Parts: sequence; structure tokens; C-alpha cells
Amino acid sequence: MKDKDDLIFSPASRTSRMLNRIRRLPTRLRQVLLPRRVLVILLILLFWFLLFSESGVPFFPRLRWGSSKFVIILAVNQGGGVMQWKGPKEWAVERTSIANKKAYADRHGYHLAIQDMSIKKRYAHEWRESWEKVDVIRQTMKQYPKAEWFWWLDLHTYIMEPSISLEKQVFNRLDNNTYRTLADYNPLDLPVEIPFVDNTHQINLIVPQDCGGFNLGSFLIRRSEWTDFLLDIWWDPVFYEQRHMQWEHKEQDALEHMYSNQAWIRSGTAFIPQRLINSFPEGACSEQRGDKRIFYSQDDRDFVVNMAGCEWGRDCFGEMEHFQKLSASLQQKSRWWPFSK
Amino acid sequence: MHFSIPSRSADQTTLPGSPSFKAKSRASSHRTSYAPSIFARLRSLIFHPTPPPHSSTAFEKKRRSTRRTTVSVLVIAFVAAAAVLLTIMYALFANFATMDPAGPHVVLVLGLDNTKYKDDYLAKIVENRQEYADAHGYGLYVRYISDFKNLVHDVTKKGWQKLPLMRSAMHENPGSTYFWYLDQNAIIMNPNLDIESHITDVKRLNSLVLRDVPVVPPDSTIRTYRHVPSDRMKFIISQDHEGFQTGSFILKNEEYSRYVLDAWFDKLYQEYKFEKDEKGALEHLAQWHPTVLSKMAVIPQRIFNAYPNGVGEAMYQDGDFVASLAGCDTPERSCVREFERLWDDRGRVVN
Repeated sequence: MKDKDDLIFSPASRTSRMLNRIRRLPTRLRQVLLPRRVLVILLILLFWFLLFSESGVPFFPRLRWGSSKFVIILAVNQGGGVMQWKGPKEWAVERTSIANKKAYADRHGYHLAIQDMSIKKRYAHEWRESWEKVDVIRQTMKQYPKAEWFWWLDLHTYIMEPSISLEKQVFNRLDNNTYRTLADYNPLDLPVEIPFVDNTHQINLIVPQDCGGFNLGSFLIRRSEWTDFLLDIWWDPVFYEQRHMQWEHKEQDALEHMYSNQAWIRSGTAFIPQRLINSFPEGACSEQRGDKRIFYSQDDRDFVVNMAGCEWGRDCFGEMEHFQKLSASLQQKSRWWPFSK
Repeated sequence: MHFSIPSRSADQTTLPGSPSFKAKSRASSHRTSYAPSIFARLRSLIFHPTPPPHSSTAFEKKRRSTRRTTVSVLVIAFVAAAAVLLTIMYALFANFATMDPAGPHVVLVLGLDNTKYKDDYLAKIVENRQEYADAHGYGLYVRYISDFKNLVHDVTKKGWQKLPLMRSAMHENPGSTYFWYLDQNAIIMNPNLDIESHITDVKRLNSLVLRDVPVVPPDSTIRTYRHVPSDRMKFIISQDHEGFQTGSFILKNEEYSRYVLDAWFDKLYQEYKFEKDEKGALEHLAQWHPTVLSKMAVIPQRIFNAYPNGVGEAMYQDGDFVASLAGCDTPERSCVREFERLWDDRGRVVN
């Protein structure tokens, strides 16, 4: 048998030369790496952090553990340019919004699911149109089987304070941050008490109320059996047939109806003050000007702005630019003056 | 040509070529007083690291072995302490208070209509249920259905009132598992059968469940599931030739049942004017919402809802559990007369 020490003369053929080199490889590696253990360990650690880090290095491949229990669902491409032309302003707004959510998700290790909301054939009029939100949530829950909470965000939203995590803003003190009954704030004038409600039930849906009712532009939903039932019953042909002409906001109104009539829904739903995750700009809910519960306040450094309804009569592009600049300047200010507001 | 064989000892891997490196190594091995700069140290780390010295004296060997024993003892002690501490904390702080409250395992639910029926008739029915419940240690929840008339949309449709009645029974008996709703116009003819072994036991239920039958006979497209295991079934009901028969059904006290009862009772379903009232609403729910149908078990009618004047499989026979007088409140029939005929023939509890 040929021994490694016998390789004094290089054998004639190229294949056997290559084979010899391969055979010597483990030994060579050992000879090179073992004396440099410290360096090797440092290099391994460096690669480890680059691969698995949250913020990431550009152009360096990154692996996510994927164990984050929060998923941000961002609804983009509303309408898909089918009913209305999508001009450069619409594209710019979309880019800004997506970049903002991506930066936020990367910073806190959340998943970001960007879901396309273009008008599909199966959503032609009279058939679940505008109930796509429900199907998208169900789909996303299947895509992220380990995640627990899903935060739905409409396109025309902007996260003004990216340093605040969801845990800090909502979940660390969930019972203090949310309210379970309509006793104090009931803009829709729904029945305050219905029989058989269980207020100690686990919270599975966190919804803000704006001046006109529930606002599904920014809300949180938890993976649970209760949620499976809700996502199934949300659209029903009998409900749709009787009410779709009156329900302007479609799935939002359907949820308000179910909340008024079905006790099990009340048990699992909690409300969150609007300004915690869904502040409005001055243009929305304009009849309630000055109401401290609704509008974005720079001094209080509200978390998220939802430019709801900006595509009807207001300037989405202008508002998005304004809030983007405002957020950047606020972040800069706080970097230099961490103790000032 | 001359080839140099690299030395195989790990201590002295040398890379041919760099003269300064050779000088450096000579310098460090002579231990001169010059202190190497950071760059020199880094370069030496990359190109020529010095291996750690091997200590091999007997004293150092013993020191190493005692140190190893100490370390392992410390590790074991730490793990043991952690285990003890965690057990104590679990025992102290595990929340025993969230254990379920106690209650009868099965609750019979009965709604009495005192606007159309006389008190002595209703008393006999309550007596029948009470005898059965007492014999098996079940609970009995009796209410007048007029208690719920404010919740229903149309008071004349009596069928809807059983839903808030069931919901109320479940709300007030959180410790009970099974709730059996049996219509007022029905008699338990064989009180010696108990619910668990006759219906709800998993193996028994598995043998009773009708799989792949149309939800709306004779031939609706949606059929009951074929492979759902019976331990997941939470809603046990039977069908007659027309469809679901809501005169006798069993619900388990879980989230699912609250969801089904509340959704079934929704105002929009009541206002929709289904042909068969709440039976039609249930059929609609079962066909359009798989979360409802997937936990429904459809069992043969004779198990707990036989008709004395029925035909074929529905016909009541001696020894059957329940005789149901469903549909007797039409003008052609008389509930009281049919009831009297069966009342004396009923079985009594055998002790």
C-alpha cells in the first residue's frame, strides 16, 4: 500500500496527482488550522454573527432562526392597478411604506409578510369582495406556523418610532393597555352589555376604535382556535346577502355586527386606545378635530400613523413624505439628545 | 528536482519563504527584550503561532486532575441545586386554582312552554327527566322558554329559543362536560341507559358516527367528514328524512359550542326566514363553515330521537332510549294524547 511518506516524486498522471493532493488535504488542514486555534475560533464567531444577526451585513447571506413570534402583515398593491392607474406617486408611497416596515421588522427580529391585495377574479363583485383580508390572514398563519401574533398593517401607514418594540408598546402590559368593554368609549353606540360574555377569556383580537367604529387598518390577531372560528364565520353568504349594501366597510362592519350579536366574539376581543397603534393624521376623522384620543401627536411621540382614507380626497404621497421626514427628524433629535423629548 | 517534505510535527509548521518571519522566530525563541508591536503580534498569530507549552510534570498532572474533579463536582452540585429549586418553585407557584370547578358530568337541558301546555303535563315531563338524572347523577337545567323571548327575533318560532337556553345552561354550569338538550315533547323511555356508554364514549361514538352522509338529505353536495376521529367531535346530533333534527342534541362545554350556539343564533339568520327555522340555519352553517361541520357527529336517529309513528329506521321500538313526539304541535296531532299513550309504557329505573 502506498504510504503518504512515499510521495517523493510526483506521479506521472494528473489524476493521480490530484488524488494525492486530496488525500493530503485533511492533514494539511490540521497542520494549518490547529496552531492558529484562536484565530480560527474568532473567524467562526464572526461568520456566525454575520449569518444570524438581525441587522445583517449587505450582500452577506443571512439565515433567520425564524422563531420570532410576531409577524407583520403588510397589505400592498391594493387594487393592483385594476380599477385605477398606479402612477409614480402611488409607487413611491408603496416603496416608502415597505422600506419602513422592513427596517422595523429587521430591527426587532419580526417576520414581515408582504401580501398582495390586487383584485383577483374570485373577488369579483358580489363574492367576498373586500373580505380578502380574512383570507390573507389565514394564508399568512399557514406560512408562519410558529408565530403567535400577527399585526395587520394597511399600506398607508408609517411606523414613526421604530425603536419601540411591540412587546414594549402593547404586550408587556396587555391588560393595562387594552379595555374589554364599550362602557367608556363607544363611538358606534353598540349595545354595551349582551348576555353570556366571559371577560376572563384569553384576548385573541386587539382592535382600535376610531371616530366611526372599529378600525382594521392596524390591528393584532393571535393564532388560536377562537381565531380559526372567527376567520371562518367572518364571511357568510346569508350575512352578505342581507347586508352588503349597507356595510360600507365590508369586513369591518361584519365584525362590528358579530361583535354586537355574538357573545363568544366579545369574550375574545379587546380594544386598544387608537393612539397606541393607529394614530390618525389631521385629515382623517376631521369632524372630531382636537379629540385627544384620535390624532397623532408629535410631542407624545406616537408609535404608528395610519393615513386612513387618504386615497379619497387627500394627498397620500404628500402625507407619507411629511411623516417620513418628521420621523427621521425625530429620530435624529433623540439620538443627539437622548434625555430630551 | 528536489521536493521538500513538510515536517509532520504540529509544533513546527513552517511556511517557506519569508525571511523576516524567520528572523522574528529566532528573535522570540531567544527571548530578547524587544516587545513586539500589535501588528507584529497579529502577523505572528496568523503566520506563526507558538503552541502552548505542555506541562508534564507529575505535580502538574495531579493539579490538573484535582482541578478536573473539583470542576465536575461543582457542575453536579449546581445542577442538583437547580433541580431542587425548580421543583420547589413549581410546587409553590403552579396555579392549582385554575383547575376546573366541579359539577355534574352531564347536564340535561329542558325548556318548558307554559303558554301552550298545562302545568300537570309539564310536571310529568319534569318528573321523567328528574328520575333519569337522579338515577345517573346527572344535572337537570329547567327553564321556561318564555324567559328568552326578548332575545329572539320572532317569538312565534319556538325552535329558536332552545339556543339561548343551551347557552345559558352552559354559562351557568362551567364544570360540566356534556349538555344534552331534549325537547319538552319527548319521553325518556329507557332510563337505564346512561349517556356515556350509550352515546358519548369515544369507542361507542366512533361506531355510531355516520360518515359521508349528505348534510341535507337526500343528496346535498356537502357530506359529513370521513376521517375525523370521534374524540374530536363536540356536537352530536341526528337527522331524519328531512334534515337535522334539533329536538335532541349533545354539546360539549368548550369554545366550539359557544361559537356554534352564538353564530347559529345570530340575528341575521333569524331574520333570513329559513324554511325550516333553526334547523335550516344549522344546515346552512354546516354547509358553509367547515369549522362547524368538522366537529359534528351525525348519529342514527333511533339512538336518542326515535319517532313512535315513524317509518323504517326512525321508528321507535321497545327498549329504545327516547321516544320523541317532534312535530306534534300541528293541528292534526295532539301532543297530550300521544304522550299519554306512551307515558304508561315507559320503562322505570331498575336498581
